[in-house]
Amino acid sequence: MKRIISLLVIFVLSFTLFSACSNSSKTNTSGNETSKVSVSSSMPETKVENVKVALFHGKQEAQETFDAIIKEFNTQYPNITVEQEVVTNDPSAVLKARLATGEIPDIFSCGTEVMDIAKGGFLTELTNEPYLKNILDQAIESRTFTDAQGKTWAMPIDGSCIGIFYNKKLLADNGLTAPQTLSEFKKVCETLKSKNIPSFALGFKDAWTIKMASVSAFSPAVYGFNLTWDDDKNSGKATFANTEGWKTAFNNLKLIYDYGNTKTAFDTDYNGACSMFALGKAAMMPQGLWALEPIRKIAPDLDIGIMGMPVSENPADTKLHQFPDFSLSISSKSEHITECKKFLELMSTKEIGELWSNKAKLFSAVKGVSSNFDPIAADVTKLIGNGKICIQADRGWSTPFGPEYEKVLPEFLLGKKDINITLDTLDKAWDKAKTLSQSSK
Amino acid sequence: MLDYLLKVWKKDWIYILFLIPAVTLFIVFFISPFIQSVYYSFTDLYGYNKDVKFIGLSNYIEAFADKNFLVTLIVTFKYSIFVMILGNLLSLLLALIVDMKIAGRNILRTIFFLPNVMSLIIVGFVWSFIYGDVSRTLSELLHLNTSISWLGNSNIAIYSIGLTAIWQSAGYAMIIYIAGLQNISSDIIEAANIDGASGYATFFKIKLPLLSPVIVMNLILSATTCLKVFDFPLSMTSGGPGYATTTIALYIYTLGFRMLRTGYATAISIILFLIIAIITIFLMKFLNKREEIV
Repeated sequence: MKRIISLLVIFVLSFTLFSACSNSSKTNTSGNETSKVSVSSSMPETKVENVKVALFHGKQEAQETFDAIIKEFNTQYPNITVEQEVVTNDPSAVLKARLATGEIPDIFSCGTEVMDIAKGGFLTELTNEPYLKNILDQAIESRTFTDAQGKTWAMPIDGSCIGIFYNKKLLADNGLTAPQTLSEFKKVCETLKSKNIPSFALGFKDAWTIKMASVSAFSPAVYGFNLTWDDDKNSGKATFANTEGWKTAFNNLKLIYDYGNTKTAFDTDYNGACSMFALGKAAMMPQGLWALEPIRKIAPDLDIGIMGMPVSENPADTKLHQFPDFSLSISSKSEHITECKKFLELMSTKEIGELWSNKAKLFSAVKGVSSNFDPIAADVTKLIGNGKICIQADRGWSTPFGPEYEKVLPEFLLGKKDINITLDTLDKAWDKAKTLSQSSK
Repeated sequence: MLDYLLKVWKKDWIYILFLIPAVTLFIVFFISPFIQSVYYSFTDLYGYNKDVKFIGLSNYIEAFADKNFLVTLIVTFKYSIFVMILGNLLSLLLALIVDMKIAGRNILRTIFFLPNVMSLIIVGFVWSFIYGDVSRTLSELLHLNTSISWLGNSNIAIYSIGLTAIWQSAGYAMIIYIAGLQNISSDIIEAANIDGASGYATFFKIKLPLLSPVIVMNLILSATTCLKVFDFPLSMTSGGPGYATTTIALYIYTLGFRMLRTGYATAISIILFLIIAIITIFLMKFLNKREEIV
């Protein structure tokens, strides 16, 4: 009897071993969730050869959209099979491993590391591709995709923005309107404070939200006046310490912290802040457009808008940070570069741009695509029309600088480092990061 | 030399064959990456770059001048001392409770050990929830005006994480202490009782000294775990606010995977290895001395 039981247990355990084996062969790396979607082609003639192209990205929400795009692609090019691979768990690390081992996908999204990957020689230059003319000029010119020598390494697909969400109804109920100047901004905060309403929903437990708040502050304050501040800093013409805009930006950040849910800011996380704003407990929230999704889940009909952060008494200086987000690059080691370029060409058409915009609830980078995925899009389109946007913020920063910047922010807010020491620390960290990302080449 | 090896093979070839798979795995997944790490710690390996330059001790010199690294050292040591001392005291107490002849001791032992089988990341997330929403709701129910910011206050955050770690790991040390207690021959305890020793005297003069090798061993085990702690600060605070809860392992992760400074991160991980090795060697020497005395 004991023998039978022990044999049964061994059988069951070995079964789990095999099932785990088959799982790991389906997923590319252990523990990660990937799915392979292939759209096969049927080949009547043998005039054009069958080509397989691998598409790699980490945007889970875009999987269905890409399925539809690949279907459309196949009606035009039946001989090209595009296999989509989505890795949601740390796509940057998985991509790095693939580049290192030589199993490089033909088309992939570099995220924010386009320049680092380009320096490694892994990308095909796209500078003079004809279909890039379909993409908004400011999107392509962003330092995320085009380096200082004018070489474009990735094609932007969509754009997002970072600014201050505001609850139109809550402000109106308190006799306020969206502030256009710095003094109006302070007045709004003071009025709300007198009524015990936190002006801002802050989720600083998730440290990246502090960065979002600071981006909404420094994009108009620094880059709104000088789009090429990064180049000036690299050449030594400008520093954090001697640029007035940075002082304004940090003071504004402190303002947001002081007038927000200060006592619970570091205990509330991103989701907590979104629900605080969605439930009308706070009037404003500094965040990126992606926060629209959790807000709409809680309050689908809330009347909200998004605005830039005022930095002076001139309303024209109040700019929303709008930036290209998702992009695609072509591997330099691919054997089917021509076919990959055909896919990018399809991505740059108006039809696909509209499809992408409606499904992803983001702005398409393709020229002439209207965006009405949400009532808030009308606000942003109006701001774009009035020139009240700034496309530059942290996307041109070298990779080692980013985490250093993020760490400095809470120390400034909690009073551990005053403004001068903070700016000095940033200056030193920037110079160090510059030598690091350039030296090994 | 070759003759000797051939003699050993002829005699024990089957045992060697059984060992080869395990040794191969050990070399491939442990020894080889370790040697590669030592090599890369002397280079300027960065991000996706393929060409790598040898830069000697620059990374190590930078580490000693790095103010952030110093902060993470202090944070890790504060955390380790807190968890080692408080954790071991608690485990010893739990072991003594379970050792007493009370009803339900088996169930108690299971309950105390249960946290140890849970995934560290899950424990981290659940405790963040407790320190956050639950703590706030509790303060409201008790009509307290302000609630303690367990994870948001940079002075106490690391100790809050320490409490979670103690909760999770106390059961493990408790089991070892139980074994140690049960190893004390009951004859000695009986003899002490006959001689009129009180409970306190029995514990402090007899049980504790006989337990000292077990205590030192638990200290060594908890030291190595605490100095390497990564999961808890990652899931509970991401190292924040600022650097208040960034341990050395979390700093290595940030350097290597977020700042892409893989060469420098490797150097710091070698330094961490040396720190743990020195502390462990020191504690083991101490353990041997205690065992001699006992």
